[in-house]
Order: sequence, then C-alpha cells, then structure tokens
Amino acid sequence: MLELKGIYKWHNTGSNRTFILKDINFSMKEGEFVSIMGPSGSGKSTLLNIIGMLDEPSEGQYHFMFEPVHQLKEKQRSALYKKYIGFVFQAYHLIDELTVYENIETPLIYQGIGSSERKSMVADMLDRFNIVGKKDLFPSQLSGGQQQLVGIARALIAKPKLLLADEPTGNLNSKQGEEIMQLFSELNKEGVAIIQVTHSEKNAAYGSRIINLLDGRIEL
Amino acid sequence: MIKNYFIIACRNLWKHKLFSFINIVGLGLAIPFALLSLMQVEAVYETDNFHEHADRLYRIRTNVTSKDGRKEKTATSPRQLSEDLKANYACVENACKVIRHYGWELNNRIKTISVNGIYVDPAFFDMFNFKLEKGTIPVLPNTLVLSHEMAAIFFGDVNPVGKMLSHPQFGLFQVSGVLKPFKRGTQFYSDVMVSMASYVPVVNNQSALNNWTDLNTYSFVLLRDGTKPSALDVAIQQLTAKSNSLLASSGDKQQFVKQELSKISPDKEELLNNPYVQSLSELSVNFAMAMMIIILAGFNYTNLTLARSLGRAKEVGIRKTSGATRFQLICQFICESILVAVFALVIGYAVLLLMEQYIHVHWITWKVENQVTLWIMFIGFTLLVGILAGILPAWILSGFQPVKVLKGFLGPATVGKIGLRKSIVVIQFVVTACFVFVITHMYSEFNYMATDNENFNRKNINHVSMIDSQYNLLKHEFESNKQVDNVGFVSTPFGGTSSTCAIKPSQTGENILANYYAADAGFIGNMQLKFVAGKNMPTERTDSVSPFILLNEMAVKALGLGKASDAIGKSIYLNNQQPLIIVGVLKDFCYSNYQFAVQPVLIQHNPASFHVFSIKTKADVSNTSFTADMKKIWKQFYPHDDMSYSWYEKELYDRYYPGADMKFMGVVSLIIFVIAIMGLLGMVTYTTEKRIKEIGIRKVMGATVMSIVRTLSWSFVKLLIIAVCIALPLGYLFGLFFLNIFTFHPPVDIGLMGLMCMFIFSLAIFTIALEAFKAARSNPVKSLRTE
Repeated sequence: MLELKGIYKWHNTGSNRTFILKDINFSMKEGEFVSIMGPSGSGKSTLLNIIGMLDEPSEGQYHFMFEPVHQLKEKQRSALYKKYIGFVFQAYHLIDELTVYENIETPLIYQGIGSSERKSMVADMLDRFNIVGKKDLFPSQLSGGQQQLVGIARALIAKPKLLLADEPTGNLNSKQGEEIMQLFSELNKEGVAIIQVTHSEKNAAYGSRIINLLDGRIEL
Repeated sequence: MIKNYFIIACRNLWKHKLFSFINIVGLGLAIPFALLSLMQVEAVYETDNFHEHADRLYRIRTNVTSKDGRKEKTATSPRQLSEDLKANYACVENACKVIRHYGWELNNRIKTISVNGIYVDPAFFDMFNFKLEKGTIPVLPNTLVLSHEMAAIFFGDVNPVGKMLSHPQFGLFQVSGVLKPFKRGTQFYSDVMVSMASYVPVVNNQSALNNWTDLNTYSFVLLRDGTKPSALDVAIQQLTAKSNSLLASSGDKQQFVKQELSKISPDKEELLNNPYVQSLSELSVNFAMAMMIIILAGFNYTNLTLARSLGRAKEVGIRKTSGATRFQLICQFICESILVAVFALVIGYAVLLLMEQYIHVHWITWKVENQVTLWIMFIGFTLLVGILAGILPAWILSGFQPVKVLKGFLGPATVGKIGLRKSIVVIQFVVTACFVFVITHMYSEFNYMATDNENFNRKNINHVSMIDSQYNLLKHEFESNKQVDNVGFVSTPFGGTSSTCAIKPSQTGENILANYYAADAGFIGNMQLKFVAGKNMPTERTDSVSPFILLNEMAVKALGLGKASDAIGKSIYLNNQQPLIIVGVLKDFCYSNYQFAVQPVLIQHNPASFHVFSIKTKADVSNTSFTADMKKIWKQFYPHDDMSYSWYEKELYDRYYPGADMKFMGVVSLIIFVIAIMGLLGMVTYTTEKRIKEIGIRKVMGATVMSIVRTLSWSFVKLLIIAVCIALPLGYLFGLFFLNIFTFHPPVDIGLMGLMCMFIFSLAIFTIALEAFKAARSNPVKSLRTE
C-alpha cells in the first residue's frame, strides 16, 4: 500500500541543520494496523504528516498506492489523499462554527459529491456511531469523547483506505480512550488500514505492528 | 457548496459580533458616498430627458479656430444663428436662443438674494418642457418668471404674479409668472428666466458683425417632424460659410456643429461654456473621491481580517486536510467579504436615506429615474467592494500550511511592513484631525457671520416692506404701539448689496465710488452704530432730501479729509450736485459682505429712496403678538395687500449659516474618523494577538493588568502623539488661511480646536486601552498551552 525509502526531514537553523527524521525505510500492506511510538520530539508526528502528505520530506522516495508521491504535483497529491486518507487529531479539530452533521459532511463537499448522496452517507455514519441525536449540536456542546467520535466519523465518511491518527486518545480519559481504541480495531477488521501515533503502550498494543522512533530513526 | 460557505460566513459574523459590527458599519458608512456618486453618474446620463420632442431637438455649438491657429470647442454659438435658422430653413420647425448671465442679485425690498438666471426667447417655452404654474411667459422687456422654489423664497404664500423685483444694475423687473417645479438635472437650471427682450449685450452694439462674433448664446432648434437630420447639417454648413465670410477680416474661423439633446450630457469633448453639464473628467474626479473613502475602508477591512486571521487558521487547516483546494477556500473567504459588503450596502443605503432626509445639500442629486439601472450599479458595486476587500485575506489565509496551523506554530498574518502600517495609522489620524479642524474653522466663521451683533444690531429688529410713500403716517401708528421701541427708515438693510454713488471732496476734485444708504436718524439708532466723531443726523419729518450726511471712516480717508474729528462740518459733493455737510463719522463696520474689505459709505436722509421700515421692538416682546399687532395696523392702511416682513436676526442667520453643508461636512468627517478608528483597532488587535504569549509569560512572572495595558498601549499612544504634533500646527495654518479669506472674522478658535483634538484622541486612546485591557486580562494558562 505504501512504501518509504530513505526519507530524511530537516530544518535549517542558521548554519546548522537539525534533523527530525533520518533515513526512514518503512512499508505497509493494506489492512495493517501500525502503532508508532517514541518519546517527545522523536519525529512521530512529522512522519505521520509525511505519510498523510501534509508535509514533504527533505529527501527520499514515497510511494502510495503505486504512485510516486515525491514526484507528484500539489493537485495530484491532494486528489490522492482526498480519495484514500482520513485524519484523526488529538485535539479533534472540529470546525467550531459547524454542527456535528455539517462537520462530518465537509470532506464530501470537497469531493464534489451530490447533496442527496451526502445526506444518506452522513446519516449512515451518524447511525453507525450512535450520534444521530447530536447531529444539530455544535462541537462546544459535546464532551471530549463525543467530539473525537465526530472527528473519526468525519475521517471515515469518504471511505478512506488509510486512517491516520495522531494521539487520538491524548485528550481523553482512560474509559473514553479505550472505547476509541475498540472502535479502531473494529474498523481495522473491516479492512481500513490504520497508522496511529501514541505514547501509551496499552494503546499501541491494539496495533498489529509497533514501530519505535528515537531521535528521528526507527529503532529495530 | 455556496450555501455551505454562506452558512459558515453568517455564523462567523454572528459569533464575532463586535468585529462584524465594526467591519459592517465601517464599510456601511463609507458606502453611501460611493452610492451617491453612482447616483450622480446616472443622473448625468438622465440630464434633460424630460422634453417632449427630445429626438428632434438639437443644440448648435461652435468650433473656433483663431488666426494664430488655436482651436477651441465651445457649447455656445452666435446670437444670430438661431434666428437665421428659423427664418430661412424649412427643415427647422422652431428655434430659440438662451443666454446665461452670471452674478444676478434680486431684491424684493426686504431680502437680497443671489439668483441663477437665464435669458430665454418666448419660443423656448414651446420647445422645452418648462410649464407655468401661474401667470404668463416673459416676453416684454424687464419681465421674468420665477422658479417655484424661488417664488416661495421671495414671496412666501403671496401670489408673485405682477410683483416687482429689482436688480442693482438693470433696474426693476416684473414677475410675469411662476414655473412649475422642474427637475434639477437640466442644462437650463435656473431660479429665474428672463425675457430675451431684456437682454443688454455687454458690448452694446447690435451690428451684424457682433451678432456673429459674440459666442455667448446657446442655440437650439426643433427639427420639423419627418425631416432627416442631414437637412440640418446642410443648413449649418451654409451658415458656417456665411459667418466665415463675415469674419474674414478678423482671421478667426467658425465651424458650427449640431448636438442631439440627449448626447449633450455627459460632455465628452470638454466644451467651454457648458454649465450644468458635467464632463466625463469631472465625473471621474467625483467618483474617485468616493472611491478613496471606499479604499480606505476596504483597506481597514483587509487589515482587521488579517489581524484576526489566527482564529480562522485552524479552520483552514481542517478544511485542507478534509480535501479543500486553495481555490475553494478563496471562494469561501470571498463569500464572507461579499456578505459583509451586502450588509454594509443595507446600512449604507439606510444612511443614504437618512442623509437625504436630513441634509439638503443642493449640489447633490438625490433622485434618479431609472431605479433598475441604479440598483444593478449598486449591487455590482457591492460585489466589487466585497471581492476587492476580501481577495487579499482570502489569498493569505488559504495559503496556510495545515501542519503549521494545527500545531499552533503560526502568528497572525499581515500585509506590508509594520512601518508602513504605522505610517498609515498616523496619516489616517492626521487626515481626520485636519478635516475636523477645517470644519471647526468653518463653523466658527459661519457662526460668527450668522450671530454677529458687533457690526450692527440685529436683535429685536423687524423689517416691513413699504408699498408707497405713506410711510410717515404708518410710522406714527407703529410707534404708538406699546410693543414698539423705535421706528426708522432705510433704502436697503445692511447685509446685502446697496446702491452706489459718486462723491468728491470739492467741486473740482476727483469722484470716488461709495455705497449709498438712504436712512433716517431712527434707523441709525436701531442699528446701534458707533460714532468716532460728530453725532447722528438730525431727526426730520419732511419729505425733502436733507443736506446732513454721515460717512464712515473709510470714506473720510478716501476723500482725504484728514482726521475724523476734522471732517465734521466739512462739505462734500454727491453725484456732482449740491454740497452736503458731514455731521457724523461712523466707525468702520461690515455693512455688506464679510468677505469684502470696507468701502466708503454715505448715509443720507432721502425719503424718496426709503423702502423698508426698521422697527425695533421692546426687549421682551413675543414675535407672534408683535407681528399680529403690526398686521392689524397694516390692514388699516392697505386692506388689499399683505404685509411682508421679516425678523432681521433670523433672516441673517439663515442667510449666513449653511446648515445643510455643515451637516454634510460633519457626516463626512465622522465617517473619516470612524475609518481611522477602525484602522487603529486593526493594528492594535494584530499586535496584541501577536504578543499574546508574551503577555502570558509576563503575567506568570507577576505583571499586573495595568502594567501590561501600559506596555501594550504605549507604542500606539506614541503614534497618536506624532499625529497630534503634525495635525495641530497644520490645523492652525488651515484656520489662518481660511479665516483670512474673510475681512471680518473671529480669531482662530484654539480652544475649540483643542477640544476637538481631545475628543478624537481620547476616543482613539480608549479604543487602544480597551483592546489592550482585553488581552491583558486573558488567562495565561490558555495562551501558554500548546496542545
């Protein structure tokens, strides 16, 4: 499904070069559930952003669904991730001015899906996550766990093949976190590949594979 | 998609109510001026569209090539042209000439009013749609028709037909009729239309040549129905040849050109002598002014939106990760600014209606006929404003990188260097302050002229117009009323144009020009004029001219009579006649226009020239009971005529205080002020957002709210101090310059300037402090938390 070869990421601070990622080689098959672990500043989020095409590597090759991402233009890249990738964030990142319903609908709008089809897709998703009753509420009226549920629903609405989650349980209490992780493994069983960044050993264990990052390198 | 954009836009506006309010009101206040100028543009195209046979009406104008090769295009033509066209050409059904004469002043014995006049042929009323309300058209010499409004000003409810008005140079005119109200948008705009028979050419020589060289006439022809316009071209060519053969000796060449009536306005050729027709360049200057205000306001919108961009950054990040393209985001932000502009249009239109209701500025057109075109222009313009104001923030906001945004690595966005933005704030405030100062100076001068009581007394004076020479009997009746203090006579009250006379110190001396007032001793007392030497003229009851006169200091000086006290008892010659004896010398005072320097003045008891009763009432008399009493007395003498009267103080106040213009200027300055405050607010918001982390750290370190407010405000207060330092001297200079246009003026009102300055800048400082206080009170735990 995706393959990273010799990925480097650095910042130039004055004449010094600060490396965030060093020589990352990593591949992943469809339907896998990978957990990325490591201490703060080890480059976990940067790696996730590069995989999610929000960030570009300074050097190296990245193939996604047999496309050479590093050679694609902005437009083609965005078409690619629009189709295949969904994001879940630690801080949920819902749009405060939109209702639950409209938040979930947003990606569909950008994919140019017609309004009646959008309606049924969002209705299915609300149904599946048991939040039909909350569809007209605004994010500020929901608990953290509920907000994250909406965030996941939004990430899944366009039926992505890969779900990228940056510490999805970081802002939740342990019970809420556990529910989210349960949801992730269910999704994984239905065939969605997942990459999650986490601090928690317990959450990492839900994954089928764990990658440890330290100072920008993959620890074997 | 668009619907989604608008939902978001509305909710955003609603969520940040204050911010939206500022933006909408800021733009909304600037928009009326643009709407007004759009209206002016449309009105220019609707000029003179109310004449019945507009498709057959033509104006004939002239291209002149002088013998040194200079070419001029003028809207006028020779006097003889229309008459030749009418007499000799079958294609011309009717023709008339119109001559505009500037600087007319008419007097109804009480009021002197500057009027706008044209001379017209009788045929004019057949060709153009100016209908009479009363009376007949002016045909005989020294007859005229008044506009509906001017008739009301001169005569109020009294029927003006048959009444007389006097012109200082051309003598008496009889009012033959009153016109129905007509549309302002016409090249024939005037208060009076005078019969062509009254016209006296400046060069009084009606030779054939002069009739072809004086290009002071507007010639109009009505083409015969069914005739091709080319027939008129042939006629014009023949007349061109005729005039050129007459002009051969002078070396000038004329070429006549026809203009369709509907194509006259706007003037695309920059014609000379084309009053009340706006040229394209005037139109664009007019429009550019309004655009300036809009650009200033739009700049503030851009600035404020960018300053608050942090709040929107997260949304941009989320949308981008949801698959939004940059173009889609740009559309969204532009939708938002368009929405703001539409709300601003609503407010702007309301402001426009209010201004129309309460500000009667005569040089502005408030009504146009084709509302559809107007609204298409309004809405098109609003969309344009929305797009222009929104495009830059849209471009910058949509460029945010989601990775940075969602991690909170971003500061607020901005445009231009901080130095540039600071200078713009200073400039905005200097402009605001200067504008306010100019208005302050105008106010103090107008107020001085309107309420001045130093030069002559206006208080408790009632003027009644005389009908015939029974004045002594009437005076006696007036005086016996217990509400009356004193009664005098005068030819024309002070404050207008008087007649003139020639005086000389000796029989063989050189004549000098002086203003002549016929008045009696009672009038001088009513006016409370001050004497530098001598005393008031003796009270006389005879109908003969008195040999005793009063002069002002200037007259004494101009006659070379030495000191004022030396002049008493000396004689001078009036209009080369009998010598007159000087009994008193008046201190120089402003007897006519505040703008003009004092000229020699001579006041003489001359009953034949008395036209007005000057009645001084007792101090505590009510206006209504007084006029009721006077009318009762009047009716005993003239049962068939109404008494025309006016209160001097009020009349002069109305004449000198341009209330509507001042209101208009006040509104403009208020708007510029609001725009400046908005600009400042944008800057302050930007800076506090940028320093929010610093504020958090300072608070953790133990800074108090007050000390943070001080730190944040100081840099802006500095800018304001710079602005004050520039604006105050500039304003003072403006004041000196403006007031010195007037010979009689109050000193520059530094106190009022200071007060206005305080007002502007304390509001500005309040804005800064409020914003700084909000930032300073924020919880450091929030601003320092990253995730």
